[in-house]
Amino acid sequence: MPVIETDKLTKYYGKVCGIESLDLAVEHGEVFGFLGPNGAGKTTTIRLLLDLIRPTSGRAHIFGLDTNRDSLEIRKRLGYVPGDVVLYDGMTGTAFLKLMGSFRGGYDAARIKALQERLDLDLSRQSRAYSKGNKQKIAIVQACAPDPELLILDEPTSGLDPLIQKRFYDLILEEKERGKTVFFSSHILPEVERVCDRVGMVREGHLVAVERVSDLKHKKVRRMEVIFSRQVAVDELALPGMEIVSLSDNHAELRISGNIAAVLQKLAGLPVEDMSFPEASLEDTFMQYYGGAK
Amino acid sequence: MKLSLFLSNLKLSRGTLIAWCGLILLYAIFAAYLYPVVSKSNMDYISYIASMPEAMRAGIGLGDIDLSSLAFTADTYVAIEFLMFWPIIVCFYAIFAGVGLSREVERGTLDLLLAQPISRTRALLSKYANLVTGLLLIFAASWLGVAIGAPLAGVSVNLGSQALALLEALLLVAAIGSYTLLACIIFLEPRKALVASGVLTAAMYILNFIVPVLRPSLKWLANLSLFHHYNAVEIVRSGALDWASVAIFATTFAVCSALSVVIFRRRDLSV
Repeated sequence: MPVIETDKLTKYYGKVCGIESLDLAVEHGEVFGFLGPNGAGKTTTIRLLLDLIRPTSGRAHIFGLDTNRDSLEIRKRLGYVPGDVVLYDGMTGTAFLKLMGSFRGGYDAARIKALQERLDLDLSRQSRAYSKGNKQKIAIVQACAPDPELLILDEPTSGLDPLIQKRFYDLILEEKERGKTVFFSSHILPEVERVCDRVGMVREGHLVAVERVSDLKHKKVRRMEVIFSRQVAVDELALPGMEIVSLSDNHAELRISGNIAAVLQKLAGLPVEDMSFPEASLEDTFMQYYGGAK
Repeated sequence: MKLSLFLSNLKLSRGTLIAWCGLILLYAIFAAYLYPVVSKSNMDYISYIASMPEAMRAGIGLGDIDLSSLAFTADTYVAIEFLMFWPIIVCFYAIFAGVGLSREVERGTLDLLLAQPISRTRALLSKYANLVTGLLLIFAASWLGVAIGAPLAGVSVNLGSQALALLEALLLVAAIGSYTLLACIIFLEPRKALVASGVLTAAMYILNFIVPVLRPSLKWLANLSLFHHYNAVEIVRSGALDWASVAIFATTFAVCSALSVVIFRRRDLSV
C-alpha cells in the first residue's frame, strides 16, 4: 500500500487552478521528489495532504487514511517543513521546539541536541534574531525530532548554506535508510537528483510525468557554452541530440540531450578554446521531454 | 483546549496584558480617589449629569436612568466614572486580541501549528481561552484598583456590587471578542476582521445613543446594541446582576463561539 496516494486530486481557488486531477503514489521507504517551477502547484498539493485546505474534487490518502477525515491521526505520524518558516515572535528556538513537541507527547532533548549539532543551530536565540536559514533549520529539527514515519518537505533547503544543505541531504538519505518515506518538493533539479528515488514533475497544476531519477539522468538536458578559436559554421555543429540555441562569432550556446560522448567527440574535431556547463533550467527539461505540454 | 498552546500564547502576550492591567488599575484607583474631591466641591454631581445633553448621557449609558432617585455615593461615582466606560475601553483589547488568529494565518504560523497533531477545534478553543483569560486579568486588575483606591481616598465602596458590575461588563466585552474571532475566521485577514468587528462595535455603540435621540420612534432599535443592555449604575444601586443582560451577552458569546468552531473546522486555511 502506498504511503501517499492521491486520486484525481483537484483544487481550484475560485477560477484559478491550484492542482488538477493529480494521481500520485508514493511508496513506503522512498524519497519522492515533487519537482516544478514556482506556482506549479507543489505547495497546494502539500497543503491538501496536510488538510490545511480541502480539495475541490478527488481524494488523498496517507497511510491508507483519508487526509480530511483522519487528518489528526495522519499528522501524528508525519513531520512537515514549510517553505517559508515563520516562528512566533518573542519565542526562543528551544521554546518553539518545546511547544511543537508538546503536541506529540514531549520534547526529545537528546534527539534535538543531535539534530541541532548536526545542523549547527543555536536554539537559545529569540525568533527575531534568526536568519531565514536558521528558521529553516529549526523547522527541520521540529519535523525530524519526533522520528515520524513520513516527512513532507516543501522546498526545505531555501536559505540553507551549501555546507548545511549537504548535511541536510545526508540526513534525508539516513532517514530513507531507516525506512522512512520522504515527500520532497523542490524547484531545483540537481538536489532532487541527489536525494530522490523518483520524481514527479508538476507544471501549471498538472502532473507532467513521474520518472525514476536514474531514468531522468539519461534524459537530462544539459546546456553547454563553447568558445572556439575561430568562427564556426552551423553545419560543423550538426549532430542529433544537440540543438544550437545561439551561435555568434566564435561563441556557441548548445542544448544537449541524452548521451554526451558523441558531443564531446564532435567538439574534439573543432578548435575549442573553452567550454562550460551552466545548470539546465527546469524549463529546459520540461520543454525537451514533455514538449511544454500541460 | 490545548494547555501548552494556551500557556505559550499567554506568555507571548504577557507584555500587552501587563500594560493593560497596569493602566486599568491606575484608572480604577484614580476614579475612586477622585470621589472625595468631587463630593467636597460645591458641584452637585447628579444635577451636573442631569444637565448633560440627552445624547451625551446616553453615550455613557445613563440615558434610561432616573437620576432624581440616584444618590450621590462613592459607589455611584465609581460606577459612572469608571464602570460605565470600562467596556468602551476594554473592547479595544478584545478586538485587537481577537484578530490575533487571522494574524497567525497571514504570517503563516498557523500552518506549522496545524500540521501538528492538534485538532482545529482545540487550537481555536485555546485562542478563546487566551481571550477570556486576558479579560479576566483585566477584570481582576480593575476590581483591585477600586479596592485599593477607595481606602486610599478614605471612602468605602461596596466591592461586591462593584465586582458584579465588572462581571457584567466582562461578559459584554467577551461577546465583542467572540464576534471579532468569528470575523477572523470568516475573513482570515486581520485588516478585514478588524474593520468588520470595529464597524459593528462602533455601530452598536452609536445605535445605543444617537438613534433614540434623533428618532425617538426608533428607540426600540437600541435593543439591538449590546451596549444598551449594560448598566453599571443599576447593578451597583441594586447590588444584583441584570440576568436578562447576562443571558444576552452569554448567548452572543456562545453562538459566535459555536459558529467559529463550525466554520473553522470546515474552511480552507489560506488568505
